[in-house]
Amino acid sequence: MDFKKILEIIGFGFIVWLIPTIVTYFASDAGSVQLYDFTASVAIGGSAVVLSYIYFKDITSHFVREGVILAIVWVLITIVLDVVLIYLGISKTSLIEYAVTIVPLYVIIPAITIGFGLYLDQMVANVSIYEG
Amino acid sequence: MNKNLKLVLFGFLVWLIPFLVSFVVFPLKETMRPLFESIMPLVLTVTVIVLAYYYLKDLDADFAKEGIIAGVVWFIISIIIDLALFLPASPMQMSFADYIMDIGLTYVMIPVITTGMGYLAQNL
Repeated sequence: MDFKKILEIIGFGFIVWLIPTIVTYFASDAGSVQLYDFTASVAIGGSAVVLSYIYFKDITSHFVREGVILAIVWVLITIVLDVVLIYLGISKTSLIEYAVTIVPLYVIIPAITIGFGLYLDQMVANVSIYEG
Repeated sequence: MNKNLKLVLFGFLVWLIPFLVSFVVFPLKETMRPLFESIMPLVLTVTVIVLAYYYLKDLDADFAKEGIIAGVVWFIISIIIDLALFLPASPMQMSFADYIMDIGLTYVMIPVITTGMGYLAQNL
């Protein structure tokens, strides 16, 4: 795996964390739990879909493996950065509250990256069958 | 299967599967709301990815366009069925504004995912 690709995975992981963090910051200011729940899940899902698309469009093989790598790296980055914000006192939530309310939402990330990997794997297999 | 029939049938399943799961996990909404709010987008995401795959894999071209169409149609189907259930007087009744904030806007995930998958297939 070359350095540029590693940098891309990490950079995208940072964006996957940054977008929902900014969006939910404004949503929590609005004071509505419903609005927060909606914006958190859609912001995480939306940014994971867009960045997975940008990443996968340059990939030509081993899609499932790439999806698993993206899932592990992106989930780790988002959790580590969230925990840093909690320790710095920037995020007002406690670690336990964070683990119960926010972390389960991040399961959407592997669902999308691994799902896209499996999907591309099958689509390429189908194309090979038709062309073969 | 006819493409349009498949599109509508899959749209119904995109609504039905999360709806059935929500019934099973509904007790969590009172006791562990955050977990409930995490499970539902996840179920919706996995359902859309699986059904979009089965829809797109039988197409020969225009994957991006078909991805967008599938997303919009499935989004509309889900909203229409939900509104038919939630707006009339029943134990599930809620106002239109509450429905949109609590459930409806989550369906925005549907066109986002199908459009992404359509464009990915287009690039292959």
